[in-house]
Amino acid sequence: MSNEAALAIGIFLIAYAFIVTEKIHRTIAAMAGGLLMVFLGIINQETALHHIDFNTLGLLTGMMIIVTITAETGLFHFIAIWSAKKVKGSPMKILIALGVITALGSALLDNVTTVLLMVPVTFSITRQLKVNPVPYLVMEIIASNIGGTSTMIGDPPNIMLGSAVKELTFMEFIYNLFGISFFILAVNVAILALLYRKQLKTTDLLKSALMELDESKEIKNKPLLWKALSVLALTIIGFFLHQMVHIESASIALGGAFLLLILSGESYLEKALHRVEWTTIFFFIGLFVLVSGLMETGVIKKLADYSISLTGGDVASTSILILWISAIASAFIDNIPFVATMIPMIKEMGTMGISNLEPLWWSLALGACLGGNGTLVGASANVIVAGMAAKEGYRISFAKFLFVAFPLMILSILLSTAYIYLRYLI
Amino acid sequence: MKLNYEFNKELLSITEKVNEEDIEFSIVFKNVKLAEKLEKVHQYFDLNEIHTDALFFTNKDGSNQIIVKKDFYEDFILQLFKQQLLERLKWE
Repeated sequence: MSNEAALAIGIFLIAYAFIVTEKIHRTIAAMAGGLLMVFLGIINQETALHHIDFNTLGLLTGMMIIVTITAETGLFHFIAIWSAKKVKGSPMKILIALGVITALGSALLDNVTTVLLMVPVTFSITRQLKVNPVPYLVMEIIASNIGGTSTMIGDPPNIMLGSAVKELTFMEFIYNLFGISFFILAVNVAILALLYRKQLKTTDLLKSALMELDESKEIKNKPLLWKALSVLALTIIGFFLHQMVHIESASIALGGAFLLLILSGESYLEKALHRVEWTTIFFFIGLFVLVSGLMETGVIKKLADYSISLTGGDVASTSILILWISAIASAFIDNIPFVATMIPMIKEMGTMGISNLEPLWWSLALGACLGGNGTLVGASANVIVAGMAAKEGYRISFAKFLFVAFPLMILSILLSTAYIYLRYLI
Repeated sequence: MKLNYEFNKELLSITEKVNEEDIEFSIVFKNVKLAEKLEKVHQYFDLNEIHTDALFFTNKDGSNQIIVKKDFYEDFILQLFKQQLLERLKWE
């Protein structure tokens, strides 16, 4: 192993340790690690820039702008109250409805943005019914990660996969992951509803008060709502067609975002750009550069070599190994850096004799996204919901979440194992 | 000491009741334009980072229901006063 490779591994592990332990902010850790790779001459600036996946960054930024402006219209409050009234204010049915809405929102927008919008709405409804919001928040965490698994734009690991591998188009994600994700969602929702059924009680008086609400008054800006919905629909159609029209998904998302800014007026520009999660964007930039240090020094190739020697290059065992390792790792560490490391490794396996990489990619997507449900720190959405809940005086403890979510995650991965095996490996 | 308030009964009505950890307000406007002032109060509470300080709902009959956490009672009253929905405030 060359000195440069050893140095790259050292920087990578130290940065990773800071990211996992959260001793310093993960964005600072990733950016500092990436910059060290450049300052110490492991890679030069041009190579570093070459490795930054601007498609991932553009897609995230574009969607964040569209969702920020859409949220200004009051649409999400409207949907929540409308659905709560549709189920006649039943706390149990609202739990299921909010779970399904969160999953669909995560599939069509992205799961981090979706939970940011759903949590305040959840507080509104549970306060109205005087029920404990924690079961609803746990449901939303789990539904957001499962819903996010189902599309290319739903969860950061999928965004990274879709950007890094040309063959994994928006339609391919839907074709391969949508069905299994929503089957897993149905199983998880049923179990959670059963588990929390005794906590979900309210009075008839509170239910009838909820039925008296006028959800149409939640829409604050109808002209903006129509513009936002039209652009959102165009953007999603664009994702479906992006391969046919040879336009990358980031161009479609950014195109939608700036079309909406043209339509809504420049008064929304500052607010929309202010609400883009720049810390997440810079976290990605740092990670791409960090991993590029490992790639350029041949470390990733060595890791791929080692993995293949473990499984003998057999597609079935390599897929199942990737699925389970991704799930367990993603439950305890952030799945974004994990996937950033795995993508070049799997690509390397393609040059080492594994000709059919498809099951490996879907195993990585399912493992990394669903694994995030294992613990409270497993995915960005979990951390955000727990943080928002704590700020409002509702603590979701690490242990209590683990007790409920980890077995559900294992069940989800067992179902995924059966799916991968039956669909791709026999 | 409690913050007491007075308002113009010809223009609006305000009732409040304690419900566990919350104070629930019902506000009915006789003049539609005043609803815009309540919307400004709503925006004030939307802009801060606390989601459960004051939750605003509109009922089918046009009345407004606001669920305010006890800790934010004075804040809410002061915002109503700032928007001139209240005429007089007094600590008693």
